[in-house]
Amino acid sequence: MSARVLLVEDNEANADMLSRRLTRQGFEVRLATDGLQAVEQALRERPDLILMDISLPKIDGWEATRRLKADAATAGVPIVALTAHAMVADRQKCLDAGCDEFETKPIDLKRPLEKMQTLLAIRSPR
Amino acid sequence: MHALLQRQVARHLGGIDVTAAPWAAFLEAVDQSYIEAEIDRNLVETAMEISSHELLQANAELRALIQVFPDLILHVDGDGQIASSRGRATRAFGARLGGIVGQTLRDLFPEDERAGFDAAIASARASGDVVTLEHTSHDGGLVVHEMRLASLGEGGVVAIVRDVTDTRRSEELRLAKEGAEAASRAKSAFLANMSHELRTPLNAILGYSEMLAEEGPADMREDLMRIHGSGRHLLQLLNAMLDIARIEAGMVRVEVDGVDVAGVVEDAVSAVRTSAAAKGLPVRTAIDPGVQWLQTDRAKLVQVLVALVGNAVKFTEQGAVEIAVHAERSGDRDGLRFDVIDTGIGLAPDHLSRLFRDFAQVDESTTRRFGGTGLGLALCRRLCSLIEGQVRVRSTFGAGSTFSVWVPRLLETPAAAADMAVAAGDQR
Repeated sequence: MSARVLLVEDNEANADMLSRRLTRQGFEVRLATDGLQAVEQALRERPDLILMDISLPKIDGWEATRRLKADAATAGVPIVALTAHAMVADRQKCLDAGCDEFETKPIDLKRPLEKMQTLLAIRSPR
Repeated sequence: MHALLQRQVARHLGGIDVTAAPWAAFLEAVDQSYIEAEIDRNLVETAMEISSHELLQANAELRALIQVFPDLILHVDGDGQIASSRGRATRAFGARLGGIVGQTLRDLFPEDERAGFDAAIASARASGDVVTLEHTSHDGGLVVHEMRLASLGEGGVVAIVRDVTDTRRSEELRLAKEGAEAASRAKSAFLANMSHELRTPLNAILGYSEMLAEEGPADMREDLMRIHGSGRHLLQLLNAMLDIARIEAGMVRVEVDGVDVAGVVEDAVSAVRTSAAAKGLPVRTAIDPGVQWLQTDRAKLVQVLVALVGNAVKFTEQGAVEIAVHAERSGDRDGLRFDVIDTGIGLAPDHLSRLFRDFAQVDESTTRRFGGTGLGLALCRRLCSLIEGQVRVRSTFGAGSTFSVWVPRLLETPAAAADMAVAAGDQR
């Protein structure tokens, strides 16, 4: 069974590009375009992994991550922050919010894919 | 009988028998009053002695206070003339204080500033507030005084004049510093924001072009890879530009640690392994056995070396690229020199002198010819100075270049700490 990924991204081009590329890599991709939608969708759909943009409408990725990590139902879902912010302080903020990994945009797909595979393997050892 | 009364009796009453009845009672009463007067006088004298001692003491205390106060204290009489002056001569009035007594207060000021002074004094007399007086000293600098006036009645006043030039100056410096810090914070915020704004569309360009190159029509592959390559180049330039700006804004933190030389060199080599192999260029390393480790900011050093080795591979078609490391002192400081030696096209002398300057100063032909390396080298120079090192180049046009990075062997952790781009070293 392919892993289900919730992609949270408000930029249409990036959302389209990433979801297509991830689909081609064999993931089942769902999309949320703001922070609140991300939280609702994650609670409802229980994805295997969340790729979380940080600059998002309504509530930002940090806040969405905090809410998901605070909820027992989604606390165990690994979250990879995808951000165009490139400062150490932002990185620390992501980790403080509860993100499991951090990737700076623009991203080579290879690197986040490796991180995703590692996180998925930890979660459901085969 | 009181001694004085005895003398008076002897002088004025002569042979009279003072023990006789009418005299005896009278003289005893007089004697009693003499004794009482004597006691009273003694009391008054003692009291006066005490208070005059207290006065002297209070006066001495006041003098001591005036000595330590940074103020010039002028007693001005009802006619506006200075009756006395005490305390410190100020830098503005110092030279003029010699003959100050007998002058008027406004005489202390240059002619053209007297009207302003009169107005300030009038307002101070009316309101009792502190007056700030700004005037030009004899050497042309701005001097600032605060003057307080205390009324003595009958038109006399005590003017207490304090030189606050230094206070004012440090206040101005503090404000300027705060302004600069606010501007720097605004710059940092702008940079962080710009970084985000620029990377988001670039992300889409890089992602789509890579996806299409992998999976799109074969005849478009080369063009798509060109778009992708240009996007990556743009990203490199963007990162270098943002890094330079962050260093300039003081946002880059230097993190010092023990660093293993071979590991640093290996990191630099592996960054170019693919591109060197594609050209069939060997990348050699020669590390002096005496230099195994140093204490520095590893990420900065690696970033500089990766940029230099990357350039070396880029501009070399035949021969080899070599990284050599050995110990070298600079002045009285132990250090290490990393030489990045290539057998490439080399640099013309006029390019050598411009090489490490800011991108703003790199002329168009340089940018065209060297594919924007000016930006990378300007960043290298800044990264090197962050870790207290230097970067130099020797080159013979047509016969290769050697870029040398000297870094101190033991870099101390700097006191200043700030934000740093994670993207600096890992987005190429």
